[in-house]
Amino acid sequence: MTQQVKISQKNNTFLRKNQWWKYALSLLIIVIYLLPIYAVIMMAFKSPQDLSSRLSMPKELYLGSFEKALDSGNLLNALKNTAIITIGVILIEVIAGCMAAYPLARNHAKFNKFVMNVVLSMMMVPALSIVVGMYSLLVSLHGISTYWGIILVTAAFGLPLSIFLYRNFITAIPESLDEAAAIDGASTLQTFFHVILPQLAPVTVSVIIMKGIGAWNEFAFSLYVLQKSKMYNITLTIKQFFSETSTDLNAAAAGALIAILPTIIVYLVLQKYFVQGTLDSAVKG
Amino acid sequence: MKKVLALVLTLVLAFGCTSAFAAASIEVETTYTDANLDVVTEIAKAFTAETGIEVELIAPGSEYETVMKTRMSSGDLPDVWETHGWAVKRYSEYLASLNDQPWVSRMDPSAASIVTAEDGTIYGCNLTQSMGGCIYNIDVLTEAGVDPAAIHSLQDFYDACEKIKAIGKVPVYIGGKDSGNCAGFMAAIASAMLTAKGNKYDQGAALLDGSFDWETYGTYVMQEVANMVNNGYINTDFTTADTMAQCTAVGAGDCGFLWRHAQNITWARQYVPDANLGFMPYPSFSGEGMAFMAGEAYCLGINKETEKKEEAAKYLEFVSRPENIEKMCRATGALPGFTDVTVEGDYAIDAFRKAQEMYADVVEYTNLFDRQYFPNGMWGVMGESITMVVMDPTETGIAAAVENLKVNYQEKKEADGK
Amino acid sequence: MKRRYRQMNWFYLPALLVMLLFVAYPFLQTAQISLMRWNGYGKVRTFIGLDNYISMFKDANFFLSFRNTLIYGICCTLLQNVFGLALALLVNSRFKGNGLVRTIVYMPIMIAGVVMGYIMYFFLTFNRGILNDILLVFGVQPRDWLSSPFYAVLFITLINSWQYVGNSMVMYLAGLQNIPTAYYEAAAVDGVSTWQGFRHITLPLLIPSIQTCVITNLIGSLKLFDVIVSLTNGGPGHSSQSLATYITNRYFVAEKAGYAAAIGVFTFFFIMILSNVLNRYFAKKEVQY
Repeated sequence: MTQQVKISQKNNTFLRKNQWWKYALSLLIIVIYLLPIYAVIMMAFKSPQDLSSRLSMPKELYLGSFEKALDSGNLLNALKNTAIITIGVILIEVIAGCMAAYPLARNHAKFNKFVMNVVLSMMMVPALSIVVGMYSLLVSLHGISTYWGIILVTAAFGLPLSIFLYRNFITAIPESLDEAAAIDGASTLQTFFHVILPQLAPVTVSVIIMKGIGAWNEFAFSLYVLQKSKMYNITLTIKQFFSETSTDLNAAAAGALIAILPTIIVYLVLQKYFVQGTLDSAVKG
Repeated sequence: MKKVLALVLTLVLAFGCTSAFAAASIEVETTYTDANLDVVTEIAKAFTAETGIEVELIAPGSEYETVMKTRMSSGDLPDVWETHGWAVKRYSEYLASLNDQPWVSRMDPSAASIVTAEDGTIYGCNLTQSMGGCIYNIDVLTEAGVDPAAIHSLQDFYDACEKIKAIGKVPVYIGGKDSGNCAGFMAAIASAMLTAKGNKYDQGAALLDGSFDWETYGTYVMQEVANMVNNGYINTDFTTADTMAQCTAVGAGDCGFLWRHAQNITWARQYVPDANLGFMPYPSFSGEGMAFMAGEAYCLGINKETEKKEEAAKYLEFVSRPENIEKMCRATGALPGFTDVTVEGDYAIDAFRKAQEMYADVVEYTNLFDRQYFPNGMWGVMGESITMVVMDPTETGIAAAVENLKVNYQEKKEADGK
Repeated sequence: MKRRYRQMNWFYLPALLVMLLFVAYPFLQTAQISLMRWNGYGKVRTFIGLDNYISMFKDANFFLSFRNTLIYGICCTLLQNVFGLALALLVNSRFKGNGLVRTIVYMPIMIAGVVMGYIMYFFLTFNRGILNDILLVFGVQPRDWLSSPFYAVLFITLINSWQYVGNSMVMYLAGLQNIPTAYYEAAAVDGVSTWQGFRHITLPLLIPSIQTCVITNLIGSLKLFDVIVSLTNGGPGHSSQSLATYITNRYFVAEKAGYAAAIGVFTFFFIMILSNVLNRYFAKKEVQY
C-alpha cells in the first residue's frame, strides 16, 4: 500500500515545470473553502447584539455564546449521544454491510442481480417520504427516544451505500482465494471470516469516515425518533437555537464549531488510510 | 477488538434501557426554545420540587408542528402539549375537556372563547395570548411625519406608507420565508375587507356556510395585497426574509410597520435592545373599527388518552398560578390570558396597553381570521397564496392565488364536514 | 460452487432484515396512504382510489419540483465530477501544501447539511448578506439573490456541489494513485503532450472511479433536502423545491398526506428505474475494463 503512495508522488512529470500557478490556485481554493468557516467563527465570538457586517472582526471577544451552547444547549450530553449513535450505526453498517456484499460480489445469479438493483434503488429513496410509516413502526416497537431506534433507522437507510462500497472491494479480491479455501475444506462462513474479512480493513476505514460523518450529522430521522431532549444529538441541539420565537445564531455558530471538532480530529487521524481505503473500494470496480 | 465491541454494545444497551424507567413523570411538549425555554424549565423545576412529579420537556423548536403531526398520526402523544392556536381546530379530537378544572373561572373571557369549541367544551388552558396588530418603529414614523393615532382606515394606512416610502424606508416588512408571517398578513387583510367591524363586503356568513364567492370577493382581497406590492409598500426581499430579518428590520428602523403579533416587539428588542417601537390594531377598510386579533400564545392542553391525567391537571394548575403566568409574559411579550394577572413594566405589553387606550373608541377583539371563518388546514395555504401574489402581482398571479385558496377551502370544508 | 453460492445468500440476512423492517415496510404503508385523502394527523381517512395520482399530473408545482430534482441531480453530479477530478489532479501533483488543500476541501463535508444551509443563508440575504457586502466593495449593487427562482436553484446546486466535492476528490485521487507511473514514463518517451496523456491514459483508467463517483453523487443530489430547507425553504414560492422537499411541504404544510405519499411512491419508482438504467450502462463498461 505504502508503495503505491510513493509511486504516485513521482508520477507527475507532466505537471512539474511551472509551480507558481498551483500555489495561486490553491490559495484561491483555500479562501473559497475557509470563508464560510471564518464567518462562523466570527459569528460565534460576537454578541447577539453586534449587528456589524458578518465578515468584520468582533468588537470585543464574546464568549457567552459558547457558554450558552454548552450550558443551556447541553452540548456535552449531545456529544455523548451522538458518539454512541454514530458508533452503533457504524457497527451495523460495517458488519451487515460487508456480509451482504459478499454474495453480491461473488454470485451473479438473477436473484443477486435483483438484490443489487433493490439495494441501489434504496440508496436513493428520499427518506422523508416514508417518515410516517417509519414513525408508527417505532412507536409500536417502543423505539422512540432510544439509541437502538435511531441506530437501526439510520443504519437501514445507510446500509445500501456501505453494501455498494464493500461489494466493489470484495469483487477485486481474487475468487481463487475462496476456491483454495474451499478445497482445504473451509465452510462458506469460515472462508468469509478467514479469507475475506482480514482484507477488508482499508475499505472499512472509508465506510467509517463516510458513514460516520453522515451519522454524526444526521438530522431528518433524529428529529422524529429522538423526542426527549436528553436523547438529542448534536444537530438537534444546534437546531434548537433556531425557532420562530427566538433565533440565536451566535449560539448556533458556537455549537456548530464545537460539533465539528471531533469529526475533524477523527478525520485527520484516519485521513491517510482514507485515500487508500477509497482507492480499493471505489476504484477497483 | 472484541472486548471493545462488547463494551460498546453493553453501553448502548444499558443507555437504551435506563431511559425507559422513571418515577411519576409527565411528558410536556413545548414550542419554546432558548431563553423562553429556560423560563418554562424553571417553572417545571419548581413544580417538581412542590409535587415530586418529574417533567420531561420536549422542545423541537421550529419543527414543533411537524413533530406533533407525526405524533398525532401515530397515536403517540405527550401528556401535555402546547396548542399554539389550534386547541379547537386541529387538536380537539385528541384533547381532554378541561371544563372542570379549578382555574377555568380565572381565564379571561376573550382568551377562554378562543379555546372553547361550539359545544362549550374547553380544550386549552390559554395562559398567555398573542395579540395580532401593527408594530411600528416610532422613530421612522416621526421622521416620515406619520401620526399613528390618526390611522384608522386602510386608506389612512396607505397614505402613511407613501410618506414612509418618501424617506426611503420600507413601509411594511414581511418575513415571507416563514409561511406564518404571510398567513398572518393575509388574515389581517381578509378580516379588514370581509369580516371585521368597518369591513367592505360583509362576507362572514357566506364564509361559514360555504357559499362564499371566491372569484368575486376572494379576488378583491388578493387585489388589495397586489396593490400594496405594486405600490412598493412591501419589502423587496419578501420571499427570502425570515422572522429574524423582519424583527431586525423593524427594530433597526429599516421599515415602518410589521403586521404581526406583539411578541415580535420582544424579539425585535432582543436584536436591537434600544429599539423604539409602538403597537396599534389592524386598520379596517372604512376605519369605523380596528381589530386586535387574539390568539393562543402559551396555551396548554391535556392528552385525552393519557394515564397521567391527574398529574397533568396538577401541572396546568401550577403553571396557571399568577406568578408563573407573569414570568411567561415577561419572557415572551405575550399578554396574560388570566384576569388575575397584571404585568407591569414589560415593553411589549406596555406598548399594547398604550394602543388599547389610544384606539379605545374603535378597537374590537377578534379571533384569528382563519380559525373563525376557514375550515381546518388553511394556514399553510394562506401563506402559499400570499407568496403567489407577492411574486406575481398581476391578474394572472391573483387568479392563481384565488384558485389555490378556493380549491383548498372547498376540499378541506368537505373533509371538515365529516 | 453452486451449493456454496446458495449458502452465501444467508449473508444477506442481517442487512435484509434491517432494511425490510425500516425501509420496505414503511414504504408499503406510504403506498397505502397514497390512495387516501388524509390531512396527516386526523382520525378520518377517506379512500379515494387513484385521485392523488391524477391530481399529481395536473399539479404544475409537482412538475417544477420534478424538474428541479433532475437539475440538482444532473448538475451537481457534473460539477462534483469535473471539479472533483480537477482538484484531485491538483492535489496529486507535487507541491508544498497539497495535503492542506485536500484537508480543507474535505472539511465542509463534516458540517451538517442543515447547518451549512443556514450559514449560506447568511451569505446570501439581502440585508447584511456577506456576498452583498463583498460585491459592494467592487461597486456591485446589492441584490436579493434568493428571491430569483433562477439564482435560488443555481445557489442550491453550487452550494451542494461545493460542500460535497471533497468526496469526489478523494475518490479520483485514489484512482489517480492507482495508475502505474510506467504508463506516463512511456508516454513521456514518445513525446506525448500533457493533454494527450490525460485524455488517453488518465481518463480511460479512471472509469471505475467515474462510475462510483457518478452513482454516489447522484444519490446524494437526487435526495437533496437539508440545504434546500434551511436555505430557501423551497422558495421563492415553490421554485426551488425538490421532490423530497415538496413531499414534506405537501405533507406537513398543505396537510395533504395522501397526495404527498403519492409523490413519494412516484419518486421511488422513478429512481428505481433510473438506477436500473445506470447500472446496466455501467455493467457494460465494467466488462470492457
